[in-house]
Amino acid sequence: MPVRDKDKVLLSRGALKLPQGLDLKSVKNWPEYAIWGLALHQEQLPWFTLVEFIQICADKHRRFSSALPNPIFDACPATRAVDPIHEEFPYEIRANMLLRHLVFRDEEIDRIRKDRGPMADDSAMWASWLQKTKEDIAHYIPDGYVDRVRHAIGPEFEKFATAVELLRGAEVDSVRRGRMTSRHLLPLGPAMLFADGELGKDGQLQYDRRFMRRTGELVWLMVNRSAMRDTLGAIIERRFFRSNDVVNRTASRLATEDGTVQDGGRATCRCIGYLPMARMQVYEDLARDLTQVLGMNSLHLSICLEAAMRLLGFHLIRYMLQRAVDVAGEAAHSPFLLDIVGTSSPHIVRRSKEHFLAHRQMPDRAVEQFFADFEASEDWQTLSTKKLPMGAAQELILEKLGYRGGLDDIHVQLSAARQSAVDSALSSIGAILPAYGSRIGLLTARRGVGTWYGPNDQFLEALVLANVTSPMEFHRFLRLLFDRYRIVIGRHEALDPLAYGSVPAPVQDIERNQTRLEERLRMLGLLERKSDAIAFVVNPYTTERANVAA
Amino acid sequence: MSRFVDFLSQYGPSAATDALVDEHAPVLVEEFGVSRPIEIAPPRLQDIRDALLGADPRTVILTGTAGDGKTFHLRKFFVDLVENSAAATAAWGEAADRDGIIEWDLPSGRRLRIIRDVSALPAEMKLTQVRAAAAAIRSAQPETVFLMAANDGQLLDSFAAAASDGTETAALCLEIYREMIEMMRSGREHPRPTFAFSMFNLSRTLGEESLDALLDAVLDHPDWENGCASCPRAVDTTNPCPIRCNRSLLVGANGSTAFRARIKTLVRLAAANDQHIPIRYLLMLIVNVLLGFSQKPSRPLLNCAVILKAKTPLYKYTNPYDNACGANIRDPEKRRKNPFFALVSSLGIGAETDNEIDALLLARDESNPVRISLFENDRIYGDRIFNGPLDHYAKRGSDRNNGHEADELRAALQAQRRRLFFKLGDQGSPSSGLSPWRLTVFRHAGEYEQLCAALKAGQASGDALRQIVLGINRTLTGLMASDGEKLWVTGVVGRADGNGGRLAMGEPLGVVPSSWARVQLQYDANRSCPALAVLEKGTSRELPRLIITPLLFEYLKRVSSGSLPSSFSRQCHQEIRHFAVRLASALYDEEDQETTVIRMVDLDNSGRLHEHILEIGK
Repeated sequence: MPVRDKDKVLLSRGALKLPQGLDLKSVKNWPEYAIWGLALHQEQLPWFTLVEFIQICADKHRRFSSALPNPIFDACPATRAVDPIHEEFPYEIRANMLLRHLVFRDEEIDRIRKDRGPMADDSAMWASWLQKTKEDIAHYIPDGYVDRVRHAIGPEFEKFATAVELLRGAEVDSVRRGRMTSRHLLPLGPAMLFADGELGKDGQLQYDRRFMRRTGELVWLMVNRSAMRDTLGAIIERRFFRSNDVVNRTASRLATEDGTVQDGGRATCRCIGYLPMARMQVYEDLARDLTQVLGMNSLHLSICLEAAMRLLGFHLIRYMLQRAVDVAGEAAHSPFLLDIVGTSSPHIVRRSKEHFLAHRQMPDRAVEQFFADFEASEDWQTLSTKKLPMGAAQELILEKLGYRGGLDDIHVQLSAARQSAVDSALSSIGAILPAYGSRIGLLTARRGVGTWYGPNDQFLEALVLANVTSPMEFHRFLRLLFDRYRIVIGRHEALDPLAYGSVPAPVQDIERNQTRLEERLRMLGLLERKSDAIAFVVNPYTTERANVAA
Repeated sequence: MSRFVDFLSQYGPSAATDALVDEHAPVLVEEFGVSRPIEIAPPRLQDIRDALLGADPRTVILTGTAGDGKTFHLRKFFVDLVENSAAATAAWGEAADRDGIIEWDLPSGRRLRIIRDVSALPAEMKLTQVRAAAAAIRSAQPETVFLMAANDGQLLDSFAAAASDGTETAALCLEIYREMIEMMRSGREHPRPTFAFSMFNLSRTLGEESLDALLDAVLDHPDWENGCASCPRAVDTTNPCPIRCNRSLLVGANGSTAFRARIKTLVRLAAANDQHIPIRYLLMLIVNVLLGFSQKPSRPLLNCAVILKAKTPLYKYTNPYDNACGANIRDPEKRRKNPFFALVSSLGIGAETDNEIDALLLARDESNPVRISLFENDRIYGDRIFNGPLDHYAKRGSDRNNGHEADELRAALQAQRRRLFFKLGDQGSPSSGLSPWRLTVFRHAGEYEQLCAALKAGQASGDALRQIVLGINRTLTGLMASDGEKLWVTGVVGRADGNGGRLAMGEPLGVVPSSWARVQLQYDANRSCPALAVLEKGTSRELPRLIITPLLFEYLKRVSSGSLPSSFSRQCHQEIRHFAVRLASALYDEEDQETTVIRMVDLDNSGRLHEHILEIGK
């Protein structure tokens, strides 16, 4: 049984009230949403989260008028000192039906291209394609479509085929073959966005939340509450909506016009999701890193997006852990001990694996504490004075926690609710760590050994791009990774009282770990060693390599 | 018994670092009764004099790691400045009590403050001195100029520390700090004109002359003769003293200077790969070639007593070619600490096989003129140590799979390959045509050297440019293209880590002068490497370049001939990708001008790259 009255649910300590328009009808096990928001969801993987984030930005940009201060973000009522309230607005996403068909479903183009003889006539090929396609999806094809496209990119059918091929190469997470209406392109501009949903019998798209489950909304809200809001808004406006990348332009030539009947009705999201805390350091960290990587103007947006996806995933993991720590009332989570050495030295792997498992379980303690607070509340404490305490408890648990149990002893009821909430939080919130961690390249998993923090090359590159603008000494880089992300790789950071205060593995292993990171970075063109005593981490896209070590 | 040999071993691989500290050198000379120390003229002394002794002196900073000669330079400069050796020695000695700081007047009337080791100063004092130096660096007419030495990492740390308190001087220190980073990265010794100082990195300024001088200082030391005068082995011609034998091989007494020349080439190669080998490691190398001894792992160096006591000849263990590879140092970690040995091991010298050369070694064909030319001059380290293992194996080894004989032969073969690597002529011995680089992973090193020489002399690069371009095209597109006439700068639409970028970022660049933008090989003197430069017609703007290091050259040559070297391909692949991204943004991304053309690259029927052009109007 879901939540009935959202004004009565129990909020996390210090959290904002829910937006008025938010629908909680399908919410069970409310505590995880109270703590982490609606919704941090492990099945919505980082690329899709980034796409959803850009979809919201696109709608904000579409509605922008010069009366507003920021083209992408809102004046933020959530962070104001007096009477803070949660942001609340609806947004729309274009359906983009024809382009979706061309990129994700059409098989005719390749067939025609393959079958064409040496004397093939372009008009005939076009006609053949149009006829076949109309049998299938006539309602998506506007009048004069073929003429328009031939005029825009050239009369040859081959050009059309090349353009489609180009766009197909830009699919994100292309290994996941979900429904055709849940496949997405790298969001290089507004023409490359598609609402996610189910195709109805009438051929219209029914917007749903099967894959886009508001995690991108949380990202938008986090940035909106950060100090970087204006800077990042300007960068997103420029890079995604003003510069009009040539690939986006290709997409817009092939697509139907936004807002027309053939494009399919826009999907409407009636209300933005729920992000409980008005301010957190992790919002600032996320916004800063996005600003940094998306702001590298000389670098093609697709490379920036790749790094942005990894960083965004990492910050969501950090958000998950930090909320768990805060709610559980603990000081800090154990560091991200990144193993660079590999299984040849088991100590670091073992320790790193312990951290991973502990982090994975963090939601447990947060939910327990949430229940402990509930148990200490006046509502609960006064139950025993009621005439029918079991019934009242059932009511109260349903109202506050969105859980309906049996008519048992009140403590039995509460533990059942607690157990359900913990199980749910571990499988949806805790699971974000392995799900995101492996996608962004933070984790290494090996059969027979387990899973631990062992970053891949792309993740390391993303860290460098986000933190190094001009050459930085290696040891300062390591320090920065600890200060900003609680990442520990070398001895010096391990010895920091805020980390371990001692070495978490034999000292020669930790030292080797650091040396191996240096070698990895050098291999990746991200580091130059100049002498025994000095090495620089460099951003290879903005800095010409001064010298190259063997 | 030669005291000089014992003296030399102080500089060998197991020596305490004491021997490398300038202050300790005279102590050693005294202790071993050596007639003169092993030293070469300080290579940067004149530069220091030029900077400080003129009418307008400027601060000089010497950097380098322990044993690079920082203190040695300071002391030599100071002794010259004082012009009175006794007074100089006294002042130098007293400075030890004042944190190694000495003040003296310069000819220009300015005051000079010498700081022997910035990192050795107490923390407060360090800040004070660094800030004072910063002020001098930024002042047009400083009253005091500085001559100071520090390890480069600690130098940066000191300036960073001095930059942290928000004062005006701190801001100055920060500027200098940033400038120093740029100088260290690019190998520049002089800052931009707004700063008045010079920074000499003694680790990387070792020229060919210094290396020769160092070799001479060891090999021609007068004490060689004194120690050996009464030794019976000195005149033994059947079983000559291995130390003296090794020395004459390194000197090139039999007319073959290949050994010495090859060592110099390796040092040059290392520098081109940005691996500068500090002088202490070269000294260690030279001593190891002469004295290296592999019989007992605990004792990597020979001395006279061991030789005199030995009942059978020790040549198997004293092989100077093995020693030049550090093979007598068993602990691989310790061996790799010397960058020369690390380089040798990364080149795979000894381990890399070449069918032709191995066949030549194993067949023992006495009538083969090539084999004769390779063996007749090496009476000791040729057949004399190789025949035994070969015979043992021929007699017994083949009927057991992993017998002792097979191991022995394998080791002996490795020793012979090492020997041939150091002995074969650059172009191959005239009679053999064999290149020594065939015994390394770096098979194209000979060509690389030729290319460098040609570019340095201003000659055409020949076919190398096309092969480099072809290698880059294949790397970027992932297609087995066959043309190196045009450089296609390509990438992927989607993810950056994908292989095979089929999307060209813009119009291709040509190798011929008529192209709208052309690529060209130039010699980069700063880095002693060829560089692939891009010249845009009608403009002179600076465009990103690709430094062709030996490693990258090897990679591109192999890729262009159709193979993919796995061991270093990732690093090279990344380098090329980064270059392509930088070049594309410099060349094709005009701020206001949007691209309207999409170019998808593909192979045509003849295997050449061509493009499908898609025009996308605004």
